[in-house]
Amino acid sequence: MKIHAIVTGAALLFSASNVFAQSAALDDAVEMWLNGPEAASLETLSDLARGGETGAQLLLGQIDRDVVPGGYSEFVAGLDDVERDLLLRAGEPGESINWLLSLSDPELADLGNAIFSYRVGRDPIGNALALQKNGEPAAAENVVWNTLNNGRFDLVNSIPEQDYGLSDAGFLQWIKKYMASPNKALTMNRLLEDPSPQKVMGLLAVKRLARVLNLNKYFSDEIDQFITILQGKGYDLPEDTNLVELSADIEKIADLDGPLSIVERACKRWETEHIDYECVIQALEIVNGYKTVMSIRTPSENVIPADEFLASERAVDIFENLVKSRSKYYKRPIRSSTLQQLLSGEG
Amino acid sequence: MLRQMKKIIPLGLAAGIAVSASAQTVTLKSLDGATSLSGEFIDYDGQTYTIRTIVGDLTIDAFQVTCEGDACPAAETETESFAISGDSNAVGKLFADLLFEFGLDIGGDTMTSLDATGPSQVQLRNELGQELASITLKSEGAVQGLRDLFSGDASLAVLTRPITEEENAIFRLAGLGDLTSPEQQTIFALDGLVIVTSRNNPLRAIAEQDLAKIFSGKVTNWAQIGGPDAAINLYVRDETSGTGAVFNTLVMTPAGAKVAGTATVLDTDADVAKAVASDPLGIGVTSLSDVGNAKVLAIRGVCGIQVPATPFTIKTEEYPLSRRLYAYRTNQELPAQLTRFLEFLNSEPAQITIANDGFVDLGVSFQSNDEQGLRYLSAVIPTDVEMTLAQLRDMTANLMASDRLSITYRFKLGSAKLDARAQDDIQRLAQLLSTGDYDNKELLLIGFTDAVGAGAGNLRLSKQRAEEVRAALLDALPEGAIQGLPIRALGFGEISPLACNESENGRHINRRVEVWLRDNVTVSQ
Repeated sequence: MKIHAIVTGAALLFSASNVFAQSAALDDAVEMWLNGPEAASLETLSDLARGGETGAQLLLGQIDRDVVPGGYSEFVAGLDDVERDLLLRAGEPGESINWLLSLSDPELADLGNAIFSYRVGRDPIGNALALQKNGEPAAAENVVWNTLNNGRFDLVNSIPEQDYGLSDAGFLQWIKKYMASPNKALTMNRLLEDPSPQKVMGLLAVKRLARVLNLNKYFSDEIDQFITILQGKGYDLPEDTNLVELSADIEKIADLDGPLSIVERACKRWETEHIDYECVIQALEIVNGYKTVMSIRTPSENVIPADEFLASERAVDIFENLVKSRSKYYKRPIRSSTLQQLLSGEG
Repeated sequence: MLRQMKKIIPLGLAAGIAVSASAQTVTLKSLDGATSLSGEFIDYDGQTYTIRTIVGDLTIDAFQVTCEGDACPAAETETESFAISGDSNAVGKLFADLLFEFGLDIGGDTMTSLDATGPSQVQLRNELGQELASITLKSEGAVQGLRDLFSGDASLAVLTRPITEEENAIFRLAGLGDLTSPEQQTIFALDGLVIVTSRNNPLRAIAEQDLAKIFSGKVTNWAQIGGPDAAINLYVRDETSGTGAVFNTLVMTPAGAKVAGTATVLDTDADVAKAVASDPLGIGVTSLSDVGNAKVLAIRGVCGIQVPATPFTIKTEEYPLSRRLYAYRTNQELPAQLTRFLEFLNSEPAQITIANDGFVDLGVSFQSNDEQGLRYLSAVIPTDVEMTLAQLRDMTANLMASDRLSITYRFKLGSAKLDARAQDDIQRLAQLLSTGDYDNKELLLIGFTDAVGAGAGNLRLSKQRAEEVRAALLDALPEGAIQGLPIRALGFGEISPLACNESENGRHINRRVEVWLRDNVTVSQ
């Protein structure tokens, strides 16, 4: 099996792409899951997994493992234990086991464990290294980013020399470039012209450190407003915020930024005939910010490349489901006409 | 052998001593415990740590963190004590408020003790409640402020006037440095004195040369200056107050006059404004921020140029009764918290506090060319200005669709050397341009001169001054900060006076480089 060869090969160490050839049946099932009917695609993936297709096992294992990522949906949430065992897990109902822990190819156990375990334990950098080593660099970068945003830059700085390319993570490189630049001003113009896809992650990480680094003075008002939105605190925007301009800027930034593009595409999917500058802002409020949207990512980069997943309808479906479910706990008035319609069930 | 004992240091209390150590890892934890950073120790200068990390060298505010690791510098556990002394209103009111804001800005707080005259002592604490500094506020006037600074009883002297040559010489001779140097002088705010009357008074403007006559009692009837036939009632502040002292400096002393003994002396600027507002025959001197219901008179220069008192004309110092507020220090090492506080004075929260307290902040304001009608009137009114229609047309063409910034650079007579405030304003302008918010515009630095000397020479000098500002600005700008923002230096000599060249103050106002931002428009071919 090709996946085996790649997992054990050096090329995997620095690759986030789906470089192994999958069976046509798996390709079709993946495509159906990404952009087609969910229930039918999961049925097909389940059949393939039980037939020994490792790619399907990885996807289902992660879908079973996590609420997000994993295709969070009313359909999956509505499965009873037996249905879940049959559809998403290995073994028989009642004695089932997550596919990640019982991959058909025992040599992929490390990969399965890395994906299964990355949220467990108090060693985030160890988990990130395991993901990186096993060809899941976007997931690894996400773990490092979360570690930094939890205030543990000391852990991030402890990445060992043999890091399989983890320290080359895009947002770390973005911060490095920023710190080396004599011009520390962070403005919307600068962000818009920045070609790095990791600029939003980098920006949020720098903001997290800004106080102790005395960098807050370099953040322009517009950038601070943008960060407020990303933090899911759009309700805190100053009254004189130019929502028209800010919305246009967010749309441009979303062209390069995967998580933000999910929110943009969701709002476009739900849009009504009314012009609505609040949809992206309030949708981020409801789901508690960009950090939550970042957790919507491919179940396994070895099967579905990160970019391909982010560009899929499934990513938008997951976000939509998140907005709907979390809106039950959101107590502020809905300002966005688009969200009003979506959440009233009319959309 | 390395010491194994871990040192945990409240860096807010640490003295400003540079430290060098061999490469060792330190962990810096924010005081609230929410952020931990680690890296190879590079340097500690008393204010900041530098550590080498996976994302390069980071400079960390030493007052925001504790340090753990063998390389950490030794702790200084004593609370700093120092005094700020000077002008009563500036120290007793403004600096008390600024210290309060400073406490908030650093994530801590302040506790202020009051005596009969107002705030006298401020305890500055960090967010853990640890006392960082005990600051005494002495509001006994400018002279006492300088005495305290000289004797070492104060670390900072706050004045609403510049230090005199004689006063500065005493410091120099004592080896305490040049207080007018950029290192020892901070201009942190501006202020404007205004002449006010009741709203019922028909007068709109007053001649500059009549001010001294009126307030000295030589002109006693409104009819003498175009008003009704009635006696003038004078309202002033005590001459030891900032308002009284500056009014004397700018108006009375140059005219060899003193305020008449018949004037009613009031305790505050607000009291002056209130008394004048309710007296149809009254006239008084107060500060712009305390005008209340009184009416502000425009002041017309001897050449006919009339400048209203607005925050913009005060920021550009084109209003003739503008003044700067100064903080002076000696060349001795400053307490760490005072250094930090002086840096804070330039921040947005500090400048907002300054504006809220009635002073004029140093923030940059903009004014459209459409609002610059005075410029064209004053170009043609004075008779001592050498100007051609072509020059005026050229200047107008350059200023079309442009906005003027309140930053204005001023020069000594015949000199192209930037003054003290100009040095700070270069940094302020560089910071503003670095935001990138002015891309697709063009920055124009336009030099002007007074009318002393020949027109051709002044034209060269004005261009030279603009070039000087351009060079200083380019030096101050971070690399790559202004891609897409061309900077042009122009000079128009003496053609656009904004004050009368007859007075020294007027000539000083006219020797300037203005800053304009013009939209770039590309016409299709």
